[in-house]
Amino acid sequence: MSEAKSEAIVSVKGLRKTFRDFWGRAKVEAVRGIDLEIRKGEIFGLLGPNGSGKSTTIKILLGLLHATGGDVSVLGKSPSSVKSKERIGYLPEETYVYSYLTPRETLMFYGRLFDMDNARIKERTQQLLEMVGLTHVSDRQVGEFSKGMARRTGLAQALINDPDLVILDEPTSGLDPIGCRQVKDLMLELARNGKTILLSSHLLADVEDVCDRVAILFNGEIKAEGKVEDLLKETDSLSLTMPSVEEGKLEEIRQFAAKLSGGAVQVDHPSMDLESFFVDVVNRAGDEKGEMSGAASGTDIAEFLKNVS
Amino acid sequence: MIRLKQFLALAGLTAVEVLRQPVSLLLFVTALACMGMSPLFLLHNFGESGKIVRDGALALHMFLGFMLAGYSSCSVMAREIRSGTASAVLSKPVGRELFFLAKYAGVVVVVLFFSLCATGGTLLAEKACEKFYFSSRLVGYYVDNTTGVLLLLCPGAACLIGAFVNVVRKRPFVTAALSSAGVLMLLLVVGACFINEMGRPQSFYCLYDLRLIKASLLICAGLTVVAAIALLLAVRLNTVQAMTALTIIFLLGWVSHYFFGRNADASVAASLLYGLLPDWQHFWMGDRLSDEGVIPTSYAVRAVCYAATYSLAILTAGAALFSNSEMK
Repeated sequence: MSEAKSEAIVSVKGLRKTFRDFWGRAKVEAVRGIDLEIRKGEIFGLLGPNGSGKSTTIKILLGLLHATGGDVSVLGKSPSSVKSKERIGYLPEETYVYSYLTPRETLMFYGRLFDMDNARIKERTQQLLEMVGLTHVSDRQVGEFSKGMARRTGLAQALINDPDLVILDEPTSGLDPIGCRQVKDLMLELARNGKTILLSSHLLADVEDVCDRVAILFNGEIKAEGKVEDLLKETDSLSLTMPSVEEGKLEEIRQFAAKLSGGAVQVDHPSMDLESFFVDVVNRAGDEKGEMSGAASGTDIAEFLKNVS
Repeated sequence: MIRLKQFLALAGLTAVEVLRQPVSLLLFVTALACMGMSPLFLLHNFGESGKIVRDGALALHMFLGFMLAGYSSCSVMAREIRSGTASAVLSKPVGRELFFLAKYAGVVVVVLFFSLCATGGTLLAEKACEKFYFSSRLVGYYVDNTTGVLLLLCPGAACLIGAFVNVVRKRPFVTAALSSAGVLMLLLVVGACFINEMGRPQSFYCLYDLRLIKASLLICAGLTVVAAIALLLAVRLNTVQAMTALTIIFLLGWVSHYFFGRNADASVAASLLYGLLPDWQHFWMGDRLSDEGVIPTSYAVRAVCYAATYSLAILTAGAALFSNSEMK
């Protein structure tokens, strides 16, 4: 990891959270002594089944929930610090947007919560609407949107302040495969531009595609943590990709490999994953596109997010 | 400066949110329609139609205002906490106290708007109702049917304009109808000065009972207290629970002087309870207006100060409670 990535953006030590009932009695111990460190420029994945404590941990980092115990530091400050939130972008698990506002009004509203002048808010709003593919529906109320379109609005609002730390809770939930791919590309692009990303997701393929490191939570505890490639690497087997050859030569290769390895050899054609295939088909169809009522494909990352910090 | 900008953004959003709720339009329309009907359809008034219309209009202002202030406060706070929009906003650099106070300010803006419309309706209804005139110009009972009919038509016209704006400009119907109601009411209050006691055209002359402005102002002050209490309750309770608790407090507030206020000097417990419960009697001047009674300005100032102090105390408690609450 480079020197630039060594600064700890999020630091959590011994974090505990117990939810209590109306009378103050302990009800659920959601987080049980978590230690985490997320460094600058990193995409960190928080994985785990439902109720494992992912969203609780994220809400504690944002100061929305109070920790029962442990030390938490976000961007060098306590999570309750209002100041540190100027540098954070947050996409909640559910798309919490005001249903009677349009996407444009939503982004303008969230922009006004930051120290930005109106001209800059308008400029960023336009860029983000183009980025998430909602320009052509920017004057419709979000309440009329599909889940995926509302999700795109939520994603745009999380980036309005050009945050240094982006916290995304299930960002691809409700998105079509193209939207999923765009969000993943966006995360990679943001990380390349020096942003730190904390991603929580049930979709393991998403996490595998983009995360540098992951932590797997179960019942409020971290059960595994490390670099994705280190965790997934099967060191006792190899795969070799080469151009296709005729059947006779293939058998020779199989026998040769079996002789060298001393074990069974499996030979097959590599296949494109369904997501790539789907994106390919839809992109080709999109070349003949007419007017769309839903979200458009969106464009590249917004210009203001490209500044390398 | 940024705090002020955030405050205005949040308060403005809250006001818009409340004004886009269909229930707000329902309460506005009900208030204005009932005020319009009261002078026109009164039977068996025993020469007391002025008092009946006046009391009825003020009671509508108080009761429907209570519904509006209470429900709006509960819904904007409880619903935002439970739907998660509060979490989304509080993940931005927004202090919790600022969020809470901005919500209050937004609701108060709507309450003021409602009170302005209701005050206009009260003035117009009182002007239109049957009265006995004994002057060199006019002797006998007269009803200003023109003003009464115009007042009755006002909410319907507002809804028609709202529908038109919705169809042509694609703006939300409720907001357009409510804005139209406000504008129409203002025009009607000015325009009715060109209508005489018998409902016929005249040159500009004000026939309104201006004492009603002070009475309406006091009700409006009471409604700001309702909004503050409802907002405090909604921090911890859902909308139904908060509205139930608010209704109990509202009812207790009407009898707080009878049960506790009279004994406040003799009993510490009574004094404490009287201090904790709002005394709505301070804001009800319907009886005072009978028999040409007046509301002293000094009294109105004291009642408004009471409302402001009480609201401030409630808001302080609410902001402290909200600061420590968790956003799930």
